[in-house]
Amino acid sequence: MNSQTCLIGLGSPHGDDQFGWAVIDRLATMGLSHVTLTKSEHPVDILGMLDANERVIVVDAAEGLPPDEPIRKLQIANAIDIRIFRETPHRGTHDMGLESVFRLARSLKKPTDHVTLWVGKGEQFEPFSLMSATTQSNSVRCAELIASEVSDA
Amino acid sequence: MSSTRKITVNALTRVEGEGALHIRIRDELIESVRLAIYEPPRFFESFLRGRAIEEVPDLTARICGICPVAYQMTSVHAIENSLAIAIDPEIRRLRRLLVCGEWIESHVLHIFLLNAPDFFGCHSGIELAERFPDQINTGLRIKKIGNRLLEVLGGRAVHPVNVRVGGFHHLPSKDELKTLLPDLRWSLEAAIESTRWIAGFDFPDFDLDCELISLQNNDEYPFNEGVIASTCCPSINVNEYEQHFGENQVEYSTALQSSRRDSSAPYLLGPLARVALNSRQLSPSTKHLIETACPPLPLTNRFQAIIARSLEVVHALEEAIDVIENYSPPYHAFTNYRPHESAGCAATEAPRGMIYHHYGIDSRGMVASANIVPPTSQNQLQIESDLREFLPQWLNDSDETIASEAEKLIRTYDPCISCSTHFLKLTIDRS
Repeated sequence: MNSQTCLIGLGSPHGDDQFGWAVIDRLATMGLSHVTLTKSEHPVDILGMLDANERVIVVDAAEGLPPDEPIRKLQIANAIDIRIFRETPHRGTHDMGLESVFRLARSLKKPTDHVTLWVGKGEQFEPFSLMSATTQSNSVRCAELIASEVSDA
Repeated sequence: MSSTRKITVNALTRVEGEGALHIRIRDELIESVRLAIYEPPRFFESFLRGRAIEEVPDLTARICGICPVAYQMTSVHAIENSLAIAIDPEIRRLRRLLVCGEWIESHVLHIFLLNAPDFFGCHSGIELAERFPDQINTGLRIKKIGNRLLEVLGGRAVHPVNVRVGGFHHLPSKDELKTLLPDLRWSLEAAIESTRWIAGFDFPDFDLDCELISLQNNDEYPFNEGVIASTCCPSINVNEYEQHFGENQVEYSTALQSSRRDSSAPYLLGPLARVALNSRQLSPSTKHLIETACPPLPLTNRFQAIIARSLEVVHALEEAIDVIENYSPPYHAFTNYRPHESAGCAATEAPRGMIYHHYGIDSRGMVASANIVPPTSQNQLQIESDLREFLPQWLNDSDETIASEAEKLIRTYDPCISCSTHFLKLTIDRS
C-alpha cells in the first residue's frame, strides 16, 4: 500500500458538475507533496485506489445541500455520514453512482474506512454549461480546506 | 374486443443523452417498439462551425465521457483526410495504442459490471461481486491498465488532450511506455482466463439474422482506418458513406435514426460485427481463444456480444504490448500542415461501433460544416427491430419481466444510455 494520500475529483463538463474537477485543478496549483491528484468522470475508478492508498479523498458535486452549508465533509466509515450521504441526491451523470461504487467496494471486501468524501453544492447541470460563480468560489474554498487538512496530516 | 398494453420504460438522464423505451402490445401482439434517445452530439455539429480546426479534437472528445478517444480519433482523421496530411507510421501506431486503452477500459466496465450480471440473475454488478469477487476484482484491475494507457498517451484519463491534427502534442518516452508492460502482460493472461469464463455463460437463444457492418482492414484489426464492410453488401470506401447510409428524424425522438438509404433497412455495429468481419486480423492469443473456448464464428446471437467484447479486450491488450515493445519515438510529434478550403471524412471504431465524421474547412482553417454520426444512433433501428422479434416469447409474463428482458437485450449493444446497470424505471398504462 502507498503511504500517499490519493485525491480524486469526480465530475463531468456539465455546469456545476465540474466542482470535483475544479477542486483538483486548484489543488494542483498548491504544490502539495505526497499527494496524488486525479480527475475522473467515473466513480468506479475509485475502486482501483482503495487498496493502494493509506488515505483516499473523493470530491464530487451534490444537489440538495442547505444554503448555509455548501461544502460538506463526510466520512465513509461513519454510519451517520453514510446515511447523510445516501440522502444527498447525487446527479446520475456517471456510469455508476458513488453510493453504488462504495456498496460494490464492500461486496469486494475492499477497505473504505480510509475514505473521506467532500461534496460541494451544485445547482445547475445544463449540458456543457459553465460552472456557476458560486460553485466556482466554493471549489476554491473546498480546495483550501482539503489542502489544510492534508498538510496537517 | 381488443386489448392494449402499453409499457413505458424511462431511463435516467445521463451524460450521453436520455433514453426511453415504449412498447405497445395489442391483442397479445407487439404493435410498436419505440426506442427514444436524445443525443448531445447534435449540438456539436452546430457549435463546431466557425471554430479553428485545431480546437476540434478536444471539443469532440467532450461528446462522450465513455469513449472520448473514438470521437477525437475520428475528427483528427477526418481533418487530416481533408487536408491530405500524411501521418508518420509511428504516430499511427501510437494512435492505435490510445484506442487500445479506450477499448480496454470501456469494454471491461461493460463486461464485468453492466452486462455479466444479466447472466446470473443479478440486478447489478454489486450483487455479482458478492458471488464472483475474484472475477470482478480481475476486471477492475484490467480496466485500470486501460485508464493508465489513456493517461500516458492522452495526457489524462478524462477527455484526453494530447491528440492534435497531424499527430500528438507530446510524445511519450520509451521508458514511460515500458513501465506499463508488466501490468499489460498480467492483464493479457487475466483477460484470456476471463474470456474462457464468459464463453461458458448460459446464453439466451436469440440468433436473428441481420446486416453486420464494420470497418475492415486487410493488415490489422480495424480501429482508425479501413473500408466499410458488410455481411450483406459489397464494401465501400468511407467517403461513400453518406451515399449509402442516411439519418432519419422520427417523431418520438430527437435523435436521428440511421438506416440504409436504398432499403431503409437497419444494420448492426459493434463487437459482433467487427469480429465477424475481421477475425483474420485478430491477435494470435485471440485466435487461439476462438478455436479453443468460443462458439464457432460468426457470432450473431446478440447475447454473445459479451464474448466478442472479451475477445477484443484480449486483442487490445496483445496489440498494446506489441506496440510498446516495438516503439521507437519519431523525430517529430506531429506533421505540419497549411489549412486550405477543403472537405474530408473519416470513420473509426468506437467500442460500441463505427463512428463517422465529415468536415468542411474554409480557407482560414475554420470549420465550415460538420456531420457527426455516432454508433448508438446507427444501432437504434436495429435494436427496435430486435426487440420486436425477441419480446413475443415474454408476452405472457408481467410488464416488469418484459421490461427487464428488453433491457437485457438493449444492454448487449452497450449503448451509451446503458451507463448504469439498473437504469430503468417502469410505468404501466393499460387500456
